[in-house]
Amino acid sequence: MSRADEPAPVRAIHAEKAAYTGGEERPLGSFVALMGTYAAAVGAGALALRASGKQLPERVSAADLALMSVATHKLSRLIAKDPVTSPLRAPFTKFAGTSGEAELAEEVRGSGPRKALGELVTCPFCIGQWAATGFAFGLVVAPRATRMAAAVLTAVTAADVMQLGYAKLEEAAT
Amino acid sequence: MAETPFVNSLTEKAREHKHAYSQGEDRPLGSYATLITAYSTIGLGALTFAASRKSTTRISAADIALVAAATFKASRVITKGTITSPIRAPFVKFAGVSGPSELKEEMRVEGPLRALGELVTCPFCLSQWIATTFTTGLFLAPRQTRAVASVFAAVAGSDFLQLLYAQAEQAAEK
Repeated sequence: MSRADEPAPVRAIHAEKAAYTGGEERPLGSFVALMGTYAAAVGAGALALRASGKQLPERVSAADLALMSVATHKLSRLIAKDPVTSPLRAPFTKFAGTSGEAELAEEVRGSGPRKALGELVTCPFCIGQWAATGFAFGLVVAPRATRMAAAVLTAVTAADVMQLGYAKLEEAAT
Repeated sequence: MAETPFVNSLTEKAREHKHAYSQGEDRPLGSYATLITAYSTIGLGALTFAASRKSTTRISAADIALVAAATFKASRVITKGTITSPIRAPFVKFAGVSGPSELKEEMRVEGPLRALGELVTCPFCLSQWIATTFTTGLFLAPRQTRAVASVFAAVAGSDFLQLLYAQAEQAAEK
């Protein structure tokens, strides 16, 4: 279908996109799909909770919120940067060296949906939203298992910070 | 609207003030006035309605802290996020990356659209609306609102940890 045959709203959307991107590869349609997927997943989760009769807690305790934050931090980094999880990212990325202790630098490749997914899975800040949402549902559906998983991730975070601090001290001592 | 002499002189006065204020720059004062009116009627209207329906609800200090952290993250996600860029595309032009999972964008519209564009690209501007929405939610559906706010607050905590961890990695490398 040529541009001229498109219905007016589609043509208007294409014109806005062209004005926004200025020729850069920006997968706006795929980003819309990602936002839709997130909204649909949260909506489906909320409906499933309602159907199961499980009630949301009055509030998430401060301790749980802290646990969620640290676990989200670690889980996002594990998914986005860990060498062992790199096969999950390989369809969307290109190896580009290391970025830190046991962490890889990878470049997003491809265009459209592949690029959009690549930007999501290589960026801990982007995965954070999904990870935190998962932990929140987990706390309602299976609080003990979720806290246990979050505790493991929190312990790993503490251990990793200690590794970095220890390396620094070793260097200072020699 | 009837063009009475009173209305005419009022319009004339407003135009004079606008001219003296903006000094030739594009300052969409009329659109800002519209935004203030929209906020006062929709935002404050909903909040007042919710608060009067559930007049026994007390907003605790913990709730305010939760809404603060969630507002910080939610406004950044909407105004700067990569995945949410389609929301802003009608108003701005892509101009590169400004931080992890955050974009730099330039305004590309004039007049009334510009005021709306400034609202959706400026975290400090949008936070007023978002905090009002969360607070309204605390009255109408406290459990659900706290759950959603907890997710955003956990992401905020996680993002701070990501930046701190990246700093620690760099410090250990030196």
